[in-house]
Amino acid sequence: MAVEFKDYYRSLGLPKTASDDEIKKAFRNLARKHHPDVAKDKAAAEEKFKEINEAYEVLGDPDKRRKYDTLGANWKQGFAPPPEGDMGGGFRSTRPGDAEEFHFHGTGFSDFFEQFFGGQDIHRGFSGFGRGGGYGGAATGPQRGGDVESDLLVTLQEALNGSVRQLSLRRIDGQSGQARTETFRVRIPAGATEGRLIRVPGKGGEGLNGGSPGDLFLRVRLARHPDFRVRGNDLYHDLLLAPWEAVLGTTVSVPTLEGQVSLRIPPGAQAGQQFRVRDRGLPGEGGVRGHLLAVINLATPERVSDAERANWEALARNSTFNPRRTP
Amino acid sequence: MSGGEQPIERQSYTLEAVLEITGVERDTVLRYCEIGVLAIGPDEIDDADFTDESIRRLLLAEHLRCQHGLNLVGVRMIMELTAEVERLREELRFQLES
Repeated sequence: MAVEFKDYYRSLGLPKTASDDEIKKAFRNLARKHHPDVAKDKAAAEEKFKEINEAYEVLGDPDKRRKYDTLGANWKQGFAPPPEGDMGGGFRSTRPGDAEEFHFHGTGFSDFFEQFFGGQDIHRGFSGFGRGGGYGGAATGPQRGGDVESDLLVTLQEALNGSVRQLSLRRIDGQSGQARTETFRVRIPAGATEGRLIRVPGKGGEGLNGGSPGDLFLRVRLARHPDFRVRGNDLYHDLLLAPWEAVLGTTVSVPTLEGQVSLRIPPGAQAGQQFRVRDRGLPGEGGVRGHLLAVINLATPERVSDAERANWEALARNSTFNPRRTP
Repeated sequence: MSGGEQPIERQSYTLEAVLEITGVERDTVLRYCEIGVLAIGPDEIDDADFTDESIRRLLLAEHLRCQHGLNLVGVRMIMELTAEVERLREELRFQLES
């Protein structure tokens, strides 16, 4: 099946020469604008959010970006997808004596991404594993269909509250070429953190000789969020402070998945220091939620007025502080 | 603070259900528990809650053993490496976003 090339630079509105910082900024701006939780037209925003997430997933990772840039250059010269068994083939059942091709819609990733970048996950190397042949019966008896794995893009809100997603699966029989599409719903449980598996019984490869079908295993891939990074069940938020806020202390508003909360920063806060907002992370084992960690980053003004400059100069003259002084 | 009591939802299976779903023998499951392919103590398998991840690991282990001829040590090694790669990917992703 022909795979449509995705122009990820266009998705983020950037030239191919964009720096890593420009890519990050463009993603954050667009993700805030099109985040399904804030947009008015939720359906359109969701599609756009997935598109920019996928684009950032590739362009935000130097290795994937390099591969994509090479691929893009070759694509226009009639680049052919890699053969089965190469990096991309994550959607074929390895049922003995047959080959079945799977295309999912609703996982949050395009066929293009799955074909060229999904394969970088080592577990994809085992896609299509199953019980047919070699275990539990002769080749002429009923053979259960192979199991199939795919990634499922899950937003942090979905991971927090759980949701139901409609997926459609298009199967193409490797021998007859006949295609069949079926639609089904998958429940994403609350607490579906990165890498978590969701098993969908009977949606894998067809069985042989009356054997039952295999299963579909969906692996949760958390969508990137403009305000949070995820580690386990904890969320990290980079909190920018002005130098005087860090020195004197302040109270700031920080975002959580459930709205803003006030956070008191004590005097003398240091860059890299973390302040914890309890129980505002993602659900974890044992019913306990992770935390939100606000990580202090100090920002300085790029330009200052004459009056501001005079204040900084006065501070420089009068301060005894030297960050490079050894004790 | 709200939300601290929110229970995590996790599909769990009994040993009997796992044996039926995977077609793997009880003794084989026990062996996988003994060598650490499944994070369940060998003495606990009769009462353990198996997850979707347990099922996937069992199927993958059997696939490696039966289709690719790996012995149990090889199976465990591949599973450990896979888990390590997954962990490193997650960490790299976290670092790249900072």
